[in-house]
Amino acid sequence: MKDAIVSVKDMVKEYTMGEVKVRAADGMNFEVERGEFVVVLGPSGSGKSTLLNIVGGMDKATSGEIWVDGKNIAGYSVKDLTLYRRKNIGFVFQFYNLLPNLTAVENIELVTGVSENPLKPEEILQEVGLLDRKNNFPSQLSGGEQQRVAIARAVVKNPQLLLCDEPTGALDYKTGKLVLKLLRDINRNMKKTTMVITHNAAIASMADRVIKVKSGLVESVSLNSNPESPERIEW
Amino acid sequence: MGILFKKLVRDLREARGQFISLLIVVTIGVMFYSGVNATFRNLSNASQKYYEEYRFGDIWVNFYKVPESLIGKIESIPFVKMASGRIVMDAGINISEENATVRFITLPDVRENVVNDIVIKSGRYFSRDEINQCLVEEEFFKAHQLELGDIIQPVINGNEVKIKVIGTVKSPEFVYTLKDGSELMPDSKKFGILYIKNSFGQEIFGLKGSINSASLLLRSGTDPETAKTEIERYLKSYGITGIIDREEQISHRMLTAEMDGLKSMGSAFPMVFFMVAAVIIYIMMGRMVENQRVQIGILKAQGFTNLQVLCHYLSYSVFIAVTGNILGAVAGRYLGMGFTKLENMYFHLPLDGMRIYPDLVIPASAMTLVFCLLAGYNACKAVFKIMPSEAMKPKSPEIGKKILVEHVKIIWRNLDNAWKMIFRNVFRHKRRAFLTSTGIIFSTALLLIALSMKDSIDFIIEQQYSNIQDYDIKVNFSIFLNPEELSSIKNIPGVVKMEPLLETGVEIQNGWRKKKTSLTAIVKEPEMYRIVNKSGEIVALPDRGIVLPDKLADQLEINLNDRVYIKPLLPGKEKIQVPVKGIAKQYIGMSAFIPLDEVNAIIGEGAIVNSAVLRLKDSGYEEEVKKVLKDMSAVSSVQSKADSLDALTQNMAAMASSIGVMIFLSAVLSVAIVYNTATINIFERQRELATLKVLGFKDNEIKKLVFNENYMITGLGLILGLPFGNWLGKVMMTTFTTDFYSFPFVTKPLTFLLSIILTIFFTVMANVILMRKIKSISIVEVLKSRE
Repeated sequence: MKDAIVSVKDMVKEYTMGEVKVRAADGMNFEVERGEFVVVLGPSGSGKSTLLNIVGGMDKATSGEIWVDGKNIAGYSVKDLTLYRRKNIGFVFQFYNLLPNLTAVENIELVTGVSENPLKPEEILQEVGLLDRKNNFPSQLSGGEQQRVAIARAVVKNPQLLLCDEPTGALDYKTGKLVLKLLRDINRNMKKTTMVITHNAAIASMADRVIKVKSGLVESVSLNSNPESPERIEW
Repeated sequence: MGILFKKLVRDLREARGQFISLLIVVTIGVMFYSGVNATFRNLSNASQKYYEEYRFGDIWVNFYKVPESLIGKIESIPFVKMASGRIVMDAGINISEENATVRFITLPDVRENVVNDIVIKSGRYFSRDEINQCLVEEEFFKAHQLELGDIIQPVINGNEVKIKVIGTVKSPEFVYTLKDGSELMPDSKKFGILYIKNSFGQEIFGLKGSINSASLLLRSGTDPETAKTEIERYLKSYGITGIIDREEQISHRMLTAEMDGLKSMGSAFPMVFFMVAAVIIYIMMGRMVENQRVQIGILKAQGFTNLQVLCHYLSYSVFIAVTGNILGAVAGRYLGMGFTKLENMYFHLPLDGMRIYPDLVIPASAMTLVFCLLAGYNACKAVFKIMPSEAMKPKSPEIGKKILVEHVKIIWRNLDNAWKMIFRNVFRHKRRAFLTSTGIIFSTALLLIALSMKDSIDFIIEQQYSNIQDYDIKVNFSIFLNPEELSSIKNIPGVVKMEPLLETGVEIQNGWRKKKTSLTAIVKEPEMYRIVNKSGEIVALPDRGIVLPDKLADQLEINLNDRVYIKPLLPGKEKIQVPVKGIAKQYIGMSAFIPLDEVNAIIGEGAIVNSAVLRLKDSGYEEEVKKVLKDMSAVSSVQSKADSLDALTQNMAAMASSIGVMIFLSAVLSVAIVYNTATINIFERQRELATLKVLGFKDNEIKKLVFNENYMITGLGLILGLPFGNWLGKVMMTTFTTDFYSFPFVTKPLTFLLSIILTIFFTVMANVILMRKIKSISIVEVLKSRE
């Protein structure tokens, strides 16, 4: 039975860069089902980040419909989008974007303060294996550790969707794999629909669904009935 | 450097909000400097010229009565260049339904050069035909809407005398027209000068062939103090009632005090503004160099020398200083003219010499350049340390670390994460927070001083008019009377109480120190004319001995129970020794006090009085009682407390405008500094703030992070600024204190509260402007890439 949590129809996004208009998304169509681990694959400039920004409510589409959990967010105001992000979306960035002035646990608590139904910060830190580093500041953590805190921060608010923009892009091979495993575990154990954006084709093999993006269009969508475990993928 | 100049212009455009606010601060500083100093020069030049042209006196000698021929003798004293004799007498007058006092001053029947000459503004000098002609001081003439040819009727010794107005005049002697040192503000409705013919004056005052005042010009190079001593010695047998030099002359003293005030305002205010500008430049340029380190690295890699790069960044400071100077000089020009005219509303100096002083731009530019360049250099010297190779690598992340407050567990545990971020951010940028607070400290201090001005005046009024002089009407007599002779006054309907007074001049001497002052003899247990001690409590008069005002005691180094010599300034009186039995606080005037019973012992004239204070049943009787008094013989002037208070309140309007200006200046300082530092703060943390936006924080929640930090710094500035302002105000008031006024610096609790509210309000204003910046942070752009 189909249960689409995300359904994007004819999504167009135009940017005005100075005096030039750029079409970053030129009528994208795709769906994501609840609980899936989705990899959005494409070279830089293909429009994959645009896709993630719009689904994540960080940016507004120029036209088209974006249905998330039965609601079309395309018509949302800036204020609605803020609440939408707060309630539904967990973000993980390439450069972690932790707040330098807060310790690991404080970075996570910051989010629980504004969420409706948060998980326990300490439990999540346990989950990502950093309970013993909870009082460290970001500058005292390695890149991988920072990314794990960032993942914990994204998950703690108990979001519907976990969106990850090149989560391994700034990490070395080994750490990158650990982070991917963590994301996969969260997806499986906590039943969080996860979308990972990457230009790294190797990662696609661990996905339930692969959406290939090119020049502002969805080039193909493929389902993978037997995804690879993250430990075994190589790049 | 042409390309770098383009970069400068573009950088300026990008940070225009900051540059504009900075420019406003510099411009106001320069404007104030040039404007206020131009005012000072205009007034000072005008008064000098005026004094010289119309032979403003160097020394005034007053007598009871001396023959006219004494002038010849005075003129034969070697150091005296010129002397003029005249009669000076005060009298009451009923004019346009006001009870006013006029001062008669006699001039030669036929015009000749005299010391303290007059300028005829309209009409003409005395003619031969009528004897009862007068020239009226212009402001009094205007205040009562007189016309040439009008007849006015002053009351001299109980008789109305008809005098014809034939002209209006001004004199360097009455630039500031105050009756005596006990008045704060001129009131041209209540007091004016009438110049009459010598022969007429001798006739109406019964002083045939005599004068009671001499004005002297000294030869250049004569020390007025020695001249005074010499003259006093020389004229000993003529009974000098008072001798003063220019420094003690009321009008001159007021003018000097006002100009001193201008001068200190002209240097203190701009200094504060230049300092705050320097603080902003320092913070801003430091940030700019930090943000442009990659660009600096590139420039250096291309072969630009350290000096070239430094000069480029310093050119921002120079740009601000130069632009600020140009704008400030232009604005200062208008301020100077306007302010001169405004100030001159009190002085009525001939202003034909008013001009612009281009040379004032030199110190102003020198000061701004020094401040801007020093701040700029200190902020930009980091340029030297930037290595091209390192600069082009990405910057290491901000270091987060524990701050001191965290060790105070009780506080820290109760803070939410937003406050933790604020605290850590403030402590991470300690210097910036400190400098911002410094700006707030100055602005709060300025605000507090401005707002306290009203409190201080209120305090003086309260002390002087309800504690010290708690009477409704004071009447002065032209001759000494026996207290019994005053019973008729007591019986005027509406008068409930009367206390007689004697007011005369004395010289008080302690060792080699001596000073002339006034002496007031009051009844034993006074209810209306009282004395207060330093803490403002009303104190009883001792049975014997003398009570001295605190300022005089300080000047002559007299302590309680010391014995001092006192010499009445009446003809043929010798000094006698009396014990000092009390020290009194006085805000207006400086008078020693004795009980009336002691007059005989000290002055040796029996029980005599020349003044009385009255209490009325209610204020409805005031006009009636004043009228009865004016018509009595021997009454020279009548004044009511209500009149004095009216004059004061009228002049409050002028003070209100200067308070307004100071509040505005303080607002500019506060907003400029908070806006600038917060802009930098937001810029530096845009990544952080964008992250919060992504996490679903609302704009309101994000703004709290930035704004609460501003409030915290403002709070710190307030905590230090209020005591600083209080201290500074006290210092300032001490410099305003003269022999005739003491200005205590008084701040009511409400004023502190108001300063706090206003300072916070200024921060709120800055925050409102900043809100736009926070709203405009774009999540996508900030987070897309590594910084």
